[in-house]
Amino acid sequence: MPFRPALSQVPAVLRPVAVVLIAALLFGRPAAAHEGHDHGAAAEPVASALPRTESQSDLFELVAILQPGGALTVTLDRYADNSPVDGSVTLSLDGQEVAAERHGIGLFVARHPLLERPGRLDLVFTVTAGEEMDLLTATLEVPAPAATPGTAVDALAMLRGGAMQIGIGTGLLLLGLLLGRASVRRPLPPMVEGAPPARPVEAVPSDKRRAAALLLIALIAAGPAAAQQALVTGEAPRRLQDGAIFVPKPSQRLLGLRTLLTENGEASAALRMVGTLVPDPNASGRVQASQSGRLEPGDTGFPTLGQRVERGQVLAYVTPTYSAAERGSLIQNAAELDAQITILEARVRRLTSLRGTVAEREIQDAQAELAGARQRRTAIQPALSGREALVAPVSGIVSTVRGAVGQLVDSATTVVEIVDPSRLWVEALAFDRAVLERITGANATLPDGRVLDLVFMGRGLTVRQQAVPVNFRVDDPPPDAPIGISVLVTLRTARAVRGIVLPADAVVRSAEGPPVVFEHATAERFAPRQVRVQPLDGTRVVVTAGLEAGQRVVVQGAALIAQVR
Amino acid sequence: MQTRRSLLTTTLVLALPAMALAHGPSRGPNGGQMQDIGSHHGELLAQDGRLTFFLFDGNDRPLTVNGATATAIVLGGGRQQTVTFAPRPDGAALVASGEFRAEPGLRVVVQLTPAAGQPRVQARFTPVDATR
Repeated sequence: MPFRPALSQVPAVLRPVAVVLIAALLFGRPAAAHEGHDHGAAAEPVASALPRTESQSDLFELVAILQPGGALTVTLDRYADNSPVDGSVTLSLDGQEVAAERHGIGLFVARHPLLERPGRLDLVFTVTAGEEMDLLTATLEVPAPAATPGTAVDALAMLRGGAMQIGIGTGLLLLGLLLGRASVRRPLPPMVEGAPPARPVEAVPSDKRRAAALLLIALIAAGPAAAQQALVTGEAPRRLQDGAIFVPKPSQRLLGLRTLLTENGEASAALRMVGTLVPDPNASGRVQASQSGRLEPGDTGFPTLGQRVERGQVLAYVTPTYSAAERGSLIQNAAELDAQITILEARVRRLTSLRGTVAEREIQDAQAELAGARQRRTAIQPALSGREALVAPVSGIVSTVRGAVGQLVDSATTVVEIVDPSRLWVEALAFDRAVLERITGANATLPDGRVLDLVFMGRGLTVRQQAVPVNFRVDDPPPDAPIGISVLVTLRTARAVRGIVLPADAVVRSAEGPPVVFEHATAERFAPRQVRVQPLDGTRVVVTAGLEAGQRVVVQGAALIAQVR
Repeated sequence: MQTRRSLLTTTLVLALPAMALAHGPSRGPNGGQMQDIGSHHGELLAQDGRLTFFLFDGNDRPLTVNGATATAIVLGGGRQQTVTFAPRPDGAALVASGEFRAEPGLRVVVQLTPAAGQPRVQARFTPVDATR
């Protein structure tokens, strides 16, 4: 078949529709994109954000976002900690009062015809939250209607590669399918020769095709509207050119960001070292066999992990094992003793019956000899058939079991370890000996973040690995504390540090390396601030440089902000 | 002491441009609170039942209020009201009266049209609270 332009294959009815569609797709976007830019470069901090304004007092922080439909969404939060405030908000627009409808905690929506009129709009918000009332002012720039599609195009640029592109792709695919289906040659009706009457064949399908084309046009026309709807929630947090991070209020609510108003304070300097959670030496013990032998269960069975045992309880028995030679000589000894005892018994009996004719001394000698032989026989009896009881040295919980019933154990093998979980110690290595003289307190941080209070017990005088071993007692340890785990020990010393005390979670590592905190600079803008920090205890740090009092610093969710790109 | 004072002066002189750019709330010449209002500065003095508003240009030179009209939204004692300012006979200030007490927590939003035909501007005052 000779090459023909694809359009010429489209039936004549559809041709104009297709031309219009292609033209719209080719020229529609550049035309819209042409107008949008005078708006974005203005005072708005984020070019492609919806028109918005913000206001704050020492109590509240308020952000008003003008949604594409002309609805003004108002979020109300506490100024100091950024938590949503429940209450009510009333707007004054040009002297007209508009009550905002409550849509959730700290979320209000107001509608008014003035909000759709382009231009500068002075807003006064009356905020009532329980006993607290406040007046907040803001100025909203309502963009001209012509600029509104521009905003949408900016947003399209933002969403490029996202839902909108999929939408465009689907539209093009549908168009292609339609063109392809339209260009397929219909099989002629059977049993008809020559030129068939065109009307009956074409009438029905062309109706269908027209309906499909209309549907497609409707779909494409609805595209921008759907995109605008997506904009309402589609504002994504992002890093701005100056390094600050733009986090829209809805995202702040999702991330649960909370802030703290910084104030200067004094804290004692701290020192960190790594320690190990160990059992209290006076409340733990090991059960060991004194000779090699075979393990047998105790009266209440073999000890199991987590079992509570009392001091003096028999946990297991050890049956001694001997070599063949040892056993042979033992049996031989026993047999000899048994024979000796039989002879001695007969002699004692004979002498006793002859009492009066034999010397009394002879009778006593024979009796003493018999008693000695019996004692020797008794002494070797346990070696032949006896077993050694393994007794719990302390009360506590069975923490390790190394052995099984029937297992052969050597002497000095630890079969069971017993620990009292309510009495734990921490053993740490201090590399800075001078600090140890001025300890005022200590605590330990478990890997899961729990903090245990410690009491200083003592230190060794002999250095180990160039460090001084230091012992602490754990005050009120949790019942599931993992023994033997590494903990981070924080020592508080008598030296005082001036600075701003923050939760440790507020400080995050920046991509460049130095630690940063995020200052809540304006309602939706978070600025990273490089700081110098010192540990204070397991959960708090002190910022000695980089922050001033009266700034709002993110204390919850800082790590999430740091991930925004 | 001398060095400290001169240091302070130097700091002030150096910081002055920055302060001029970022006006925080401060006390005005009449004892009221100064705020930016549009391209002007305004000073609001609150007494029980009476508001007095003085207008200054961007360099804090007093302006006459002839031709200026203003209203104020007053929030105090759990009640909100709108009052309208009228020029004082000497033309140096606008005055308005309403039912409120000059106590901490009083919030006033002044909406001012500096002259006929000019756009309306507004500013929020906390006239009685201690300045930060």
